[in-house]
Amino acid sequence: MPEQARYFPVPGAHLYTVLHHTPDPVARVLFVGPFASERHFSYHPWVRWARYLAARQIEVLRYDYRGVGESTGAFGQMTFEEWDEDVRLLAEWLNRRSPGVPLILHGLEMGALLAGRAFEGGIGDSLLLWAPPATANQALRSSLLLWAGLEQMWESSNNRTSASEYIRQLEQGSSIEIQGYEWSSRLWCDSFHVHLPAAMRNESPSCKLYGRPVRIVNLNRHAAPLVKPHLMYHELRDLSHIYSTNFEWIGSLLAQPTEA
Amino acid sequence: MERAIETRELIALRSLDTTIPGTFHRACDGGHPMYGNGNSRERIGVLFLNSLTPTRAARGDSSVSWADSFAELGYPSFRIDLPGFGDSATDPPADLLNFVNLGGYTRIACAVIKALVAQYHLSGVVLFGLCAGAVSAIYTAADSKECLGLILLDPYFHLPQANGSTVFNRLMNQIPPGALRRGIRGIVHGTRAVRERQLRKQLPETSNFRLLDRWKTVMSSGLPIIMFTAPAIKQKGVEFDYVDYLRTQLSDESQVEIKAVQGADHTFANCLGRSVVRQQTEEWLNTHFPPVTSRV
Repeated sequence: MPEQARYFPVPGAHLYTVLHHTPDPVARVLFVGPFASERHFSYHPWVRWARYLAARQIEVLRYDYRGVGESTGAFGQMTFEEWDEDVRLLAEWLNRRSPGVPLILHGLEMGALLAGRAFEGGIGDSLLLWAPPATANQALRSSLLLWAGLEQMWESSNNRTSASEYIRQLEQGSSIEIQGYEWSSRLWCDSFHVHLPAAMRNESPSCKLYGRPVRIVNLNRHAAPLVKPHLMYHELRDLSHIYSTNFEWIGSLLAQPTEA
Repeated sequence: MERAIETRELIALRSLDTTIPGTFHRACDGGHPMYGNGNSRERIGVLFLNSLTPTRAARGDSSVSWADSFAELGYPSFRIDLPGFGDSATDPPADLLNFVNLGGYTRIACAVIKALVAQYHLSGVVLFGLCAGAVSAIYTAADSKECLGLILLDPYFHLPQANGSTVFNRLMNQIPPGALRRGIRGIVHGTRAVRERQLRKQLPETSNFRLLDRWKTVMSSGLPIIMFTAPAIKQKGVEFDYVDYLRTQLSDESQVEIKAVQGADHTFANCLGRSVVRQQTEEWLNTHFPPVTSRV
């Protein structure tokens, strides 16, 4: 399937996007990936999932957050508002591309949170959430704990810094560096206020509330490296059971009669 | 949607019947990015090869920032996803590490270099590789006439533990976890360490002899090489000091600089590692490959 890598202009930066093109798509999916430090761990299964859908006549657009990966912008200066805006602008672009084709928002971990917030704002015809955290802070905290644990392995006992010490530094206004990304104190403080909409903690109430289909999938460690822990590289791990069951759900949406 | 922005361009190179996706960081001249392939004429390009990190951005997007810096200095820089990495069309080989250790990416990397030199009118390339990427870079440099220099970050010259260790591990697994198992492991590893320290100049049997042979070829040809090591990180199960060994092998023709970066982690993605590598590589590039300027 042809894949088209392009830059998408957003205020102050360019997002790196890859469109998994398919002729006459029956649906389009906007992939909102995991957070900065998780990006490269989950990259292979995330791309494979996009290709899986594209091979089944579902067009996929995936991208890197502003300031992350191939996108431009300084990560340390980014805010959740800007990452929310990325989702909105890309969804609008997809909608303009072919207004008659249903748009599914699909997020993984932090991306699930961003996708959920966009969906609550009225974007998308359906929503697929993988491993959504309750708050952005929960996602950041789990990344920090994992990273701090790994750091301890390399350091002598005199030089070790505990996760709670890193959190204290963030709370006191300092920046820290996690997996090569500068986490600002502002990012940490803001993350407490970025919530997954309460109704999205369960599928049934959210479907009723929004009047559009919602699926929530809680992935466990057997889905690594799609989700944490990423202690080892498992690029070739077979995740086809996850792909097929979620594709079935998408297929069931498309089979439903649309309201006149 | 755009294929190119002011400083970068997304590329798709056709090499050996496969498409290699990548990012081209335009060289700057007088502080401004240059447009058009012809403007790279006679310049040295910097080509980043993948480490085991799945994407061409590398851990913490460190390769992106290095490529930006080198391009600003006047060196067109290229980051690619070799087959099995990032946005390439194929899955990684089942035994990726072994594939890399045996020089599995040499052929495609050489083909990519040829394609870049032809397409961007470069006078040659300097290869940049971290860890497994450094291993691929050494193999490629030995086979490519267009490779004019090497930037190596924490290369390794050993192979994973051979069968004997597997047998040892199987035996150890017969012992219930606990103090006895830890004790026996400690004694065996300690004995191995002492033995390897005593045989300092003699390569251990787990050495990657094929790679060391290519290293010797490259090093003795006088190719400029800068190598960064992160001495704080001790690779598990590797007691032999390969860097020390390589130092003893340098000849009069060698142009090898070895820099230990205290405080860097193995990926050099932390702030300190990143900035030391950037600064010292820039100095090294300036010395060995002075930037070409179009203005008189």
